[in-house]
Order: sequence, then C-alpha cells, then structure tokens
Amino acid sequence: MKRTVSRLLLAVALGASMLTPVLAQQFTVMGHRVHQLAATGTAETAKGGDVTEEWRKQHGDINWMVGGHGEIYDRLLREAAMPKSAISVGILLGRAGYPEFFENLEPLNDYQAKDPITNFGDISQGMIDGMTYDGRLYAIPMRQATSSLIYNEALLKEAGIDAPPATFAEMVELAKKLSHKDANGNDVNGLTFMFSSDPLHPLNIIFGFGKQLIESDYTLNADTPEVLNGLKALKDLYDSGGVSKNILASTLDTMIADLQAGRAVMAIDVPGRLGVLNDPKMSAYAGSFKSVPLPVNPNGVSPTQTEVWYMVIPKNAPDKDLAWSLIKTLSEPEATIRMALNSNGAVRVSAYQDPRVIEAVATAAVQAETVPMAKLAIPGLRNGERVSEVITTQIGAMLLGKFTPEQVVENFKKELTPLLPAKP
Amino acid sequence: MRAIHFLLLSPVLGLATIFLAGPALYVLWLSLTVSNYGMNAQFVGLQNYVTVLQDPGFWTAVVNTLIIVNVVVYVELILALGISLVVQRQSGLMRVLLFSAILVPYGISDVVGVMAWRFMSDPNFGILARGLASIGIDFNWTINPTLALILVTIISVWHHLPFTFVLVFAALVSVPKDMVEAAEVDGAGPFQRFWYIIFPFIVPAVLLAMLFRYVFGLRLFTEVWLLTNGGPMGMTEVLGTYLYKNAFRFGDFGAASATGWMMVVITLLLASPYLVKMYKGTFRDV
Repeated sequence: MKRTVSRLLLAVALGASMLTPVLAQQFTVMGHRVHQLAATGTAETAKGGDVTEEWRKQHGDINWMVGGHGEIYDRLLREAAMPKSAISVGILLGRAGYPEFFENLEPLNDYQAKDPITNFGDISQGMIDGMTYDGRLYAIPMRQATSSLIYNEALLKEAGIDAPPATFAEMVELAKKLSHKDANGNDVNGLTFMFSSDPLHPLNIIFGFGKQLIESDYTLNADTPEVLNGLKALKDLYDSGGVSKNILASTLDTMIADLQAGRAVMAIDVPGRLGVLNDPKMSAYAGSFKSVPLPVNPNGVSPTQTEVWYMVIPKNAPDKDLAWSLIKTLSEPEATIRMALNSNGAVRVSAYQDPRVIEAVATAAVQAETVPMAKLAIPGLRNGERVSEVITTQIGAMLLGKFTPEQVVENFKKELTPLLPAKP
Repeated sequence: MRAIHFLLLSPVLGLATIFLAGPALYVLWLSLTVSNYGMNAQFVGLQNYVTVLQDPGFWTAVVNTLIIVNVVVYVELILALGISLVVQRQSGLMRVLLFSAILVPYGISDVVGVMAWRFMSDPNFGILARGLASIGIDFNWTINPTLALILVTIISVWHHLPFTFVLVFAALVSVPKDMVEAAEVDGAGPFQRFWYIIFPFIVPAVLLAMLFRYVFGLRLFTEVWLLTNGGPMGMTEVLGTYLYKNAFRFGDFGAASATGWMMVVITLLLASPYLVKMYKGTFRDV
C-alpha cells in the first residue's frame, strides 16, 4: 500500500514537472469566441481565411482562451495581481477601460513608435480616445458594433415617405407620425430599440439632441439643455406611441420580431442586423430593410455610438514584443479586411471601401460612414454597470410617469456623480 | 458510537465538508470582505450586511420573493392535491395520459418555458394578452410591476407543479384502502373520509413538498430574469436576481455573498416550523 502511494505521488510529480514548461511556453490570447473566429477564419461563412497563419509559422501556435466579457475581465485582473501573467494578449470591451485598470496594462505608444501599425490614422479616432488616458494609449481596437438607423422602406413608402429623416428631431417626429394600428388591429410603432437591460440606445437618443450624457473624459452633461431635450423627446416618443408601450421590456429578440412582422418601422441598431431582417425565411418584409447613419443632431453631427473590443498587453505579460507583433499583425489594413470577410466589425474605414468587403458585406457603405464618427456610449468605468443600471432605472421611471425629465436630470446628478471618476 | 462507526462514515463526512461546508464557508468569508473582479479580498467586517440591509432594493426583493414564494407554495399544494385526487380516481390509459400530461412542464427547460410564456403574454401579439384584451382586461405586465409579478407566479406554479404533484400523489396512493373502505362502511362522507382518514396519512408528504418548494422558491431567478430583468425601476426584483446583479453585473462579490447568507437565514426561518414538525413526526416513536 505504502509503495503504491509513493509511486502515485511520484507519477503526479513527474507529470506536473513535464506539463509546467509546456504551459509556460504557450502564447496565450484571451478573448471572446468571435475574436478567434474572426482571426482564424474557422466559421462556416468565413471568406477571409486564417489571418494568423503567417504569424504562427514564424512564432508558433496560439493558445486561444475564450469566454464572456466578465470572465475575460476577471481573469486578466486576477493575473495582473501575480508576478507573471500567463496571458500575452487580452481582448476586452471598451467599457472595461478605466484609469485604475490601465495601471495593469502595458502602454503601447513606444511599441507603435518602434514598430508602427500601418496607416494607424485610418482607425476611428473616437475608438482610440476611448483607450487613451493621460496621453498614453493602452489598447488597439479590434472589433466594433456601431449604431445606425435601420428602416423598413416598404412601410415608409406606404406612409408616403420617400427617404429616411435627415435630422434627429425629424426622426422623432416621423416616429410619432408613423405610429398607427394596422388592418389586423396590431399596434405599429414608428421606432424601436433595445432597452430592457442596457441604456445604449436611450443614450443614443439623448446624444441625438446634441450632447452625450457622459463624455469620454467623464464629464457628466446631465445639467445641460441638450440632455434635457433628449429626455423630453424620449418621454414624448413614449407618450405619443412613437415607441411601443412595451419598450422597457424590449430585448434584441423582441426588437427583431417586431421589425420582421412590421410592428415597428424604424430601429436604432447595428447595420449588420440587416441580414436577419431581410431573410425571406424569417421576415415578412424581406428585402425592405435599409440602413443609414443616424440622422444628424443639432450640431450637424451623426450621434453614432459604438461598442468596441480592444487588444491589450498585460503589464506582466511574459513576451510583450511577441504580443505586440500579433496585435500589429491583426491590425494591419489587409488583416482588417480579411477579418471583415470573416464577419468581424472592422475598425478601419478603408476596410469598407475594399471591393471584396463591398461584395461580401451588404452594409459596407453605411459602416464606412458610421465607423469614423463613432463614440463610446459610456466610457470605461470601474462602476460602469452600476452607471448603466442608474440610467436605465431613471429613464424607465420617467417613461412610466414616476419622474419628470427635470427630476431625472437632478437624479442623474445625484446618483451618477459619485460613480464617475475625477476628471484627469 | 464506536470509533469504527466514525471511520466508516468519514468518507461521506469528508465529501460533505469539501463540497457543502467548504463553499458555504468561503462565501461566508467573502461576505465579510470587499471583493471585485481581480481585486484581492479585503476584510471589512459586517459592512456588506449593513450596506445590503440599508439598500431599499434589497427590501423590495425580499418582499417580492416572500409574496411570490408563499403564493406559489400554497397554490401548488392546493392544485397538486386536487389533481392527485382526480388522477387517483382514473384507471388504465386515462390515468397514464393524465399523469404524463401533468409531468410535461417539468421536462421543459426553464429558459424555453419562460420564453414561451413571454411570447404568449406579449401585450402586442401574445395570444394570452390578446385573449384577455378581448374581454376587456389589459394585461400589460411590461409597464405594471404587479402584473409582472403575477405572471412570474403563474409561470413558477406551471413549471413546478409536477414536483409537488408527484410527492402528494405518491402519498395519496399509499393510503391503505381498507381504512378508507371501513370509514365508508361506517357512514363517513367524502369530506369526512378525506379529512379524518386520507389527510393525516399524506401530511408528511405535504410538509416535505412545502419544505422543498420553499427552499427552491426562494432561489427564484429564471422567470424574473428572462421576463423583466428586475425592472421596471427594480420593482420586480427578487432575491435571486438581486444577488446575481451584485455578483456578476456589478462585480460586488461581498454584497452578493452577504445576500446569499441572508437568503440562507430566511430559508431556515421559513423552513424551521416544517423541519421541527417533520423531525417530531419522524422520531416521535423512536
């Protein structure tokens, strides 16, 4: 018995000693499954091929660790507390980027100066700003989901309207005008968007009246006429039937179902949604949906907002030069095009002007317009989810008549200010 | 008890310690710390408990949970008892068919079940909401927290009724027939036979069903999460969603752990009368 136990312990020790160097040698990238699919082109519909192939031939295989945003964020931060991280490149959402978090990341200015990514200025400046703090760049954009105006052309024509609205205020008025009951007695609403768990789109409507509620430098614009006008417009839309009475429970599924069935005419959503909306197997209005940049706000700017995934190098990563070389490989113009062909939301405007992308991606023209002007809906915050919850709850309460827009402004100031970091 | 008894029990005790007591104690420790994603836990004593108890959202969640759980448990018991009595009177194929039909909701995944109910009760196009609208009842649960909680209760009863039914039905068929027949011969009516003969036999099963449903019910999550996400304005929050948001949306593991332990205390308080009753019933004759 004693001998058996000793042998077992010896075997475990030997196994562990053999495995440790193997694990230590792996070049690990931690991101979402979609990043792996975009980079390696392994999805069925991918047309861009394996963008990492040449890099792997030179430097060896990549160990992809995939998970949800929370898992990636958690793992990266836990590893940051260790002497050495096992992760060489992390890919995470922009909302994770906030001053305290940047302390765990390698600043990338020197790498860009020494071994620059080609035509870096082609990448949206708004996306770069979202991960620049105190003059230092901490992350390189890899994937975006940018808002646009989607509309049902057939239903617009039915209402005698030939073109989508030119300004945001016109869009709100049009949404109210388009709302009616159809021949079957169903409510048809002029506008729809997701609201149940994320304030991204209500914030888009506020931005449509001139200012973002929270700027990228954490300025809170609650107490401005623009934000108040945005809140009043939301309330007006709700009370007049411009948006559904069920908008507070609106999810991605219900929004798509409403558009496909003709229960909503316009939506604030990503252009990529056109695929499912125009699918004849699922949509009663297949082929009728179009996408354009969101109409301009009073400043003449399209209030386009975006969610961006970024590539970062942990400060304690084992091989930072190698990590930069992979980031650079995935950020080059040709790589961005090939990843767009693998269904990635490209962060370079030029990718959407490439003939291959124009042929394969129906919304290439719209994305070419929206990506350069896109701004992060909420900048990176340690309390980002609490901020989202406050905004969703307050706007919901306003729509249901519990608060006036003016009261919501006061509540925003009271509840959001403590959650925002001091401005740099 | 001799040492050999402890030795033989030690594997089970060891497993119970590792898999039950271990995580519970770890969560207890977390509840006494401030801990976020990637942040090493820092001891803060009872601060999380104070913070949670001072949060109006927590009390909304407690009240909603207790209302839903109590309604669910008693409605389920009454329905299970009634259906069991009906099924018991059937025989052959009819009994099998009825039994199978009643068990179906338990075989449907939580998510699928809730999504089906959500679509059926969609105020715009749901067959249920439109049916109610046709008789003048506005069932727009998306803007009315009370209606949303009623819908959550209905879905919960629908989904878990088979569990209560199986326990009660099993107890019902085990009631000695000769005693029921003897009571009938002695002139006892249907109600008297049920109240004086059948019911005392099935009380232990009823208590067991209540106990389990209270424990499961307090963990209510899927129905609320998929229907309302706790909104509008946090008015449909229950303890399960409150805990989940704190842990996995806000990354506040200390507050979430404190909520978890308070759920344990609430569960024990609710379950203690039934546990005492069951304990006395089980060991009365020992």
